[in-house]
Amino acid sequence: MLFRPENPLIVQGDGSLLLEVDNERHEDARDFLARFAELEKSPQHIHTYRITSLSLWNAASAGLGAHEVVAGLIEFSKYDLPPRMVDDIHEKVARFGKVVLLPPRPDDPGTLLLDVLEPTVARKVASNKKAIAAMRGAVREGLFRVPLVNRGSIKQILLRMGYPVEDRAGFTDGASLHVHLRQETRSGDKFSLRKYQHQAIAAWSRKGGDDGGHGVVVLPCGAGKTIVGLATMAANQTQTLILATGVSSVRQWIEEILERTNLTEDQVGEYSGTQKQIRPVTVTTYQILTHRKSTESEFTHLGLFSAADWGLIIYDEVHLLPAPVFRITADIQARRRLGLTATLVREDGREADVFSLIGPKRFDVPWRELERRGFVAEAQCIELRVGLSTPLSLAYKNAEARKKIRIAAENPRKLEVVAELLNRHVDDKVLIIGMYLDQLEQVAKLFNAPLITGKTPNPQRDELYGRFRRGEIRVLTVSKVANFSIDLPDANVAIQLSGTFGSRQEEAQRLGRILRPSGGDAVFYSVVTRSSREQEFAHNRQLFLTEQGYNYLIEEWDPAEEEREASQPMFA
Amino acid sequence: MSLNTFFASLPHEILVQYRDLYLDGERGSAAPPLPAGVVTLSDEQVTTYATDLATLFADPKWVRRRMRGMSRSAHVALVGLLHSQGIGGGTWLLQELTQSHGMSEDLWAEVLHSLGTELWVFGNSRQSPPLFYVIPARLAEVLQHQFGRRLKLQGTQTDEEIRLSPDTNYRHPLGFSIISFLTYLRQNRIRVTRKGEIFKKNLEELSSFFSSLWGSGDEEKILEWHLDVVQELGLCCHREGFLVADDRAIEGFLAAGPDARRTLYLSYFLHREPLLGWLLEELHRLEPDEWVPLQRIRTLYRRRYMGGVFHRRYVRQSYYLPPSGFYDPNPPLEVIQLAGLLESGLGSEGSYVRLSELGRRFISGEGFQELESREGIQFMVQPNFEVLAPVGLDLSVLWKLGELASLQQVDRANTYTLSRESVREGLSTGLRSEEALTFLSDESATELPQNVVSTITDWIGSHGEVELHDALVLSALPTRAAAVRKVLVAEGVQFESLSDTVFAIPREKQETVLKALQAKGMSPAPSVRRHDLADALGTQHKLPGRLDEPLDRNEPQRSSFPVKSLVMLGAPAAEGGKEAMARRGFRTGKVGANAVGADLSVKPAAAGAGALLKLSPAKTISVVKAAIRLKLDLEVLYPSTEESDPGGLSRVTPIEVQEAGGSSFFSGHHHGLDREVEFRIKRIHGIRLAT
Repeated sequence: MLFRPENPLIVQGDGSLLLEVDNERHEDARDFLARFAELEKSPQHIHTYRITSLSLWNAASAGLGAHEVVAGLIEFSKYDLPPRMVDDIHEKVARFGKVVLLPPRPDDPGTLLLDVLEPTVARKVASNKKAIAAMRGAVREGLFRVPLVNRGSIKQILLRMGYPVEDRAGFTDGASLHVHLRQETRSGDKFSLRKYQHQAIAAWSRKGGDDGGHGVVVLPCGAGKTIVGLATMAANQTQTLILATGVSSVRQWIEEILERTNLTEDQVGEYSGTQKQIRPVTVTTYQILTHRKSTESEFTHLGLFSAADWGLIIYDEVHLLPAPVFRITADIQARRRLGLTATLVREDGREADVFSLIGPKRFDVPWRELERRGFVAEAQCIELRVGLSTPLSLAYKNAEARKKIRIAAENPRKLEVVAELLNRHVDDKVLIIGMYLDQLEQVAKLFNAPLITGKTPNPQRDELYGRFRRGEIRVLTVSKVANFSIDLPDANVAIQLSGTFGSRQEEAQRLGRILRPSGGDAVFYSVVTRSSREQEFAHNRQLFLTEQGYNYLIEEWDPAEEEREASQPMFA
Repeated sequence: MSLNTFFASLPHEILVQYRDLYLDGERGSAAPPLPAGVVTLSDEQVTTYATDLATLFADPKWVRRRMRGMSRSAHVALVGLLHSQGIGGGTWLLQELTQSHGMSEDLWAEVLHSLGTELWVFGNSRQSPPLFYVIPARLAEVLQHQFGRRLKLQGTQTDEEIRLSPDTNYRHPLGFSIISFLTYLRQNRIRVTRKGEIFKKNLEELSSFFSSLWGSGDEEKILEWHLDVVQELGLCCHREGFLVADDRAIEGFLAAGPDARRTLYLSYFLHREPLLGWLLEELHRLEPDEWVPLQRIRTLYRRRYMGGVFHRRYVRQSYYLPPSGFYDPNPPLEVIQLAGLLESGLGSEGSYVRLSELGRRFISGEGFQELESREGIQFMVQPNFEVLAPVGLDLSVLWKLGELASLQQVDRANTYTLSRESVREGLSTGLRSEEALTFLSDESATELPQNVVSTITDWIGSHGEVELHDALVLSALPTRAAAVRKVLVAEGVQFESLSDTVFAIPREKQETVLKALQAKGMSPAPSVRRHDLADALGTQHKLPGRLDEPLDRNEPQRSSFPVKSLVMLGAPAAEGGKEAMARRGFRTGKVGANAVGADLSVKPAAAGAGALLKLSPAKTISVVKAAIRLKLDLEVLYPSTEESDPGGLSRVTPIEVQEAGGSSFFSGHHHGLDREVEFRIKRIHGIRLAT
C-alpha cells in the first residue's frame, strides 16, 4: 500500500476527498480539486470535496480530461486510489460529449439535431419512451430530430439516463441594448472589475464559442455576483431579464444597475407585486413568476419570459430556483442564461436540473481565497451562553416543551449581553436579529435601535435600510422576516437573540448579511440560554457553521455571578 | 533415514532387482553375484549392496545421467508424483496427468510402469493401475534435487502486461479494518439467531457500511472473513442474542503488539487450512512483481493436497473421507485474498495472482508493524465535532476513539462524530471524565478547537463525581484481620483496606482467596453474604470494622491505593497476551472441541486463539512445518521423551519433520532438557505456537 504522508489528500472509496488545510501543498491541491469536485464541507483542518457525475461533467465541459483528473489525484493523494474510482472517473468523463445537440439545418429550421456518437448509446436513446416522445424521429442511426420546444426536456431526459448533452445549438441574440460599465459610479467612486470577475465572465462565455453563453458562476456571498451579472449584460449587449429572490433584492439589482452602468431609470423596470414594468432590463422575483390564483389555475406572470425579446436571462441565487421556473426555463433554451449562486447544493436535490437547464458550472472560486485577498470579510462566530435567573430557572424546569423554548429565548439576561456587545462594537454597524416581537420591541426601545418586522411597510423598510447604509443608524433590530430580503452592505456585526436553527440556506443567508468587507472582521454573535433547548439548537447551528469553515467560539457569560446568585436561598 | 538404511530395509527381492539393474552394469559390487532366483540375502550382502547403491544414488551426476536417458513423459510423471509428495492414488494420478498434460491414461500407465521397471516408482498392489504409485521418501529426495525448480511454484515468463484485476480493490491493513469492524460491533446491535447466524438485515447493513473500505463486489465475503477472524480470535462473542465485542479480549489483543498479532493471524490461517503456510511461502519466494498463473497454482495445490490424502491412506492406512471437491480441490486463496494478502491480475491467458505488498510484509514480518501503525499518524478533531482517523493510526488509539465517538464511516480515513450520547457512552463504559478530554487533546494532530472543548466539558457535566464499584468485601474479626491480610499479600491478591478489618478484593479472586484462607485454617463461608442494611438480619451482622475508621498510618500503601482501581482489579492484565485471550475464549464459550481440556459436552466450535490443540497427525505436522518455516517455537504437550523427562508442556524449537516405517516424528530442541529430542507425532497430546 502506497503511503506518502507529505501529500495533502485522502481519496476515499465513496468518492469523497479529504484535503488537509495545513499541508504545504494545500493550495495547489485545492485549485486542482475545484475543477472537478464540489466542496461539501470546509471546517478548520480538513475540507471535504466530493466527486459526482455532475461535478465530473462540469469539469469535462470545461475541457478537463479523465487522465488529468486521475493523474492529479495520484499526485496529491496520501494513499493508493481506489481502483474502482479510477474506472468510474474514466467512464463518467467519457460520457460527456457523446451526445451533442446541434443547430437546425437550413432546410428544417424548426428542428434541432441530437447527435449520439456511440451506437450503443444511440440504441438506448432510441428505445427510451420519454426520449422518443421528446424527439421527432431519426435522420439516420444516431442522429435524431428534436423540436425546438423540447430542447430543455430532451437534455433533462438524457441526463437522467446518465448522458449529459453538450448543447451546441446556439442562442438567439435578442433585441440589442447598448450597455457598458461605468469606470466611475454614479456616486463618484472608482469602479472596475476584479480579476476573478473577469475570469468568471470569460469562463461563462467560452470566448463566444457555441458551447458558451449558458452556465452557472459560483461565488461566495459578498464576492460581487451582481457585478458579474452586470458585466455579462455589458458583454452581450442585449435586453435582459433578471430573476431575483425578493423585492428588496430586485431593488438592490436596480440600484446597482443604475449605479454602475450607463442604463437610465427608464431602461430598467421592476416587475413585482407593486409594479409591473417591462423595460429593456427587467428585474423580477421568483415569487411573482410562480404566483397563481389557485393550485389549479395557470401561473399568472410566466408570460413575462416572452414579453420581450430577451437575449439574456440572469437567475440570481440559482439554488433557490423554484420548480415552475425550471419548467418555463426548459422552454426558453434558445436564450443565453447565467446562473449566479454561492452554492450548487440545493435543499431539494435538483442539481441535475440546474445542470441541464441553466448549464454546467463555469466558474468557482474558494471563498477562503477571496477572504485571504480581502474581498470577503473574515467572519467569526461566537456563542455566548448566559444562565437563567433562579426564579426563571424554576419556571423553565416546570414548563411544557414549547414554553421552555420561549422562556429560554426571552431570557432577560440576554439584554445585559447585548448592552455589553454594543459597547464592544461602538464603531461597527450592528444588526440585532430575533424571533419574538416583544423581546425585539424591548431591545429597540432600550438601545434606540429601529425595528423592522414583517409588518413594516416596504417604503419605511427601504428608508431604514438607506439610513443604515449611510451610517445614520448604527444599530438595527430585525425580525426573522428580514433574513432573506435585506441587503445591508456595511453591517459587520450581527447579534442573534433568538431563533431556532433554520435551513442551511437560511443560516448561510443570515451570516451572509455580515460578510461584505468593511475594513474590519465580521462577527456573528448567538446569545443562548445555558443548559436549555436553545443550547441544543445552537449546537446544530454550530455544526453547520463550522462545517462552512467559520471560526466558532463559545463564551460563558459571567458564570461566577450566576453561581453566586444560584447559591442564594430562593425564599430568603 | 539415510539412503543406505533405505536400501538396507528393502525386501530382498527388490534389493536384488536394484543390484541387477544398477550395480552389475554400472559398478562392480564387491559382493559375489547370487544365483538367479535366490531372494534371501545375508546381512553382509545386504550391507554391501545397500552401501554401493547408496553411493551410486547419492551421486548427482550419475542420477542426472539416468534422468537424461528418460523420456520427457517420464520426467512429467515423476514431477507429478513428487508434487503429490511421492504418493498418488493410481486412478487419480493417471487422471491428473491426463488432465494436466494430455495423452491417455493408458499411456501414462505405461510411462509409470516403465519407471517402475527402473525401480524409481513403486506400487502397492499388482492391480493395473495399482492402488498407489509411490516414490520412496529417500528416492524422492534424490529426485527433488534433480528437478529442483520444476517442483516449485514458478512465476510467469510472459512479457505481456498483466493488469491488476478490477475486483482487487484497495486492501486495508488487517488491524485497521478489524478494529474498525469491532468498533462497529461495539456501537451497533447485531442480532444473532440461536444457531449463531447474523440476521440478514444486520448483515446487509454491515456489508453496506464497510463497502467503501473493502471495495465493492466482495463485501459479503470480506464480511464473512472478518466475522470469522474476530470470533476465531475470541474478540467478540454471542451474548443475549447479540454479537458483541469482548472489550477485555480486545484489550489483550491490542496490548499484544504487532508481531504477536501477526502470529495470531498466521495461526488463524493455518487453522483454517494447514496448506496455506506452504502456499504463502511458495508465493513469497517469488519476486515481488512476478505473477503466477492461477492454473499453475491450482495444479500444484491439487497435487499437494491429494498427496496428503493418499499419504494418510497409504502410510497411516486410515481411510480418510475427503470433503466435497475431492478430485479438484480449490486452493484456499480466497481466505488470504480477502485478508488483502493476495492480489489478482488479468492477462491474455487468464488469471494470475501474486502476493500484495501487505502479503509480502506479512509473510516476512518485516515492516508489518509499520503497516499497522505509522509514526506521526494522528487523528484530527474538527470544529464541527467530526474526527478523522486515517489508516496507520495506532490501533489502541483507534479503538479508544471508538469508545468516545460514534463511527460514521469507514474508509482510508474513518469518520467519527463526537456527540453528547457518544461521550456519555464512553464515560459509562469506564472512561474517566478527565481522561476523555486528555485523550482527545493528546492524540489529536491539531489543537482541540475551543468550541469542542467547551461543549464536551458541558456534556461531561458532573459525571464521575460519584461512582459505583464492583468488588467483594471481605470482613474478619479483629483477631483474624492480620492473618487475613497476610494471606492476601501472600497470594498476590490486589486488595484495598476499607478499614482495619474490612478488605475489598476483586470478585474474580473469590475462589483463590477462599482456598488460601482454608489452607491457613480459617473456614470462611463459601457463599457471599448479601449485606442489606435495611434488613433486620443484616443489621445484626454489621461489618465488624467501621468503614470510617482511620487507616493504620504505618502502612502507607493503603491510603495511596486509588479507588478507581477497584474496577480494574478484576480485568485480566492486558499483557496477558494470547494465554489470557485463550482463557477468555473458554469463558465466552468459544471452546473448540479439539482444544485440550475442552468440555466435550459443548457443541464443537473453533478453538480460541492460543488454545492448546489436539490435532490430527497431519495437521500437527503442518503446524510443526509451519513453525519451522516461520522460525517459531512450539509448546507441545507430550507424555515423556525419555526416562529423565517428566513430560508435560514443553517449549520446543522444531528442526525437522521425519517419517520412518510409516510413523512420523519431528526433532527439535527441548528447552527444558536443553538438547535435541524427537517427538512422535501420534503421541503429541496438544500443540500450539509459543508466545
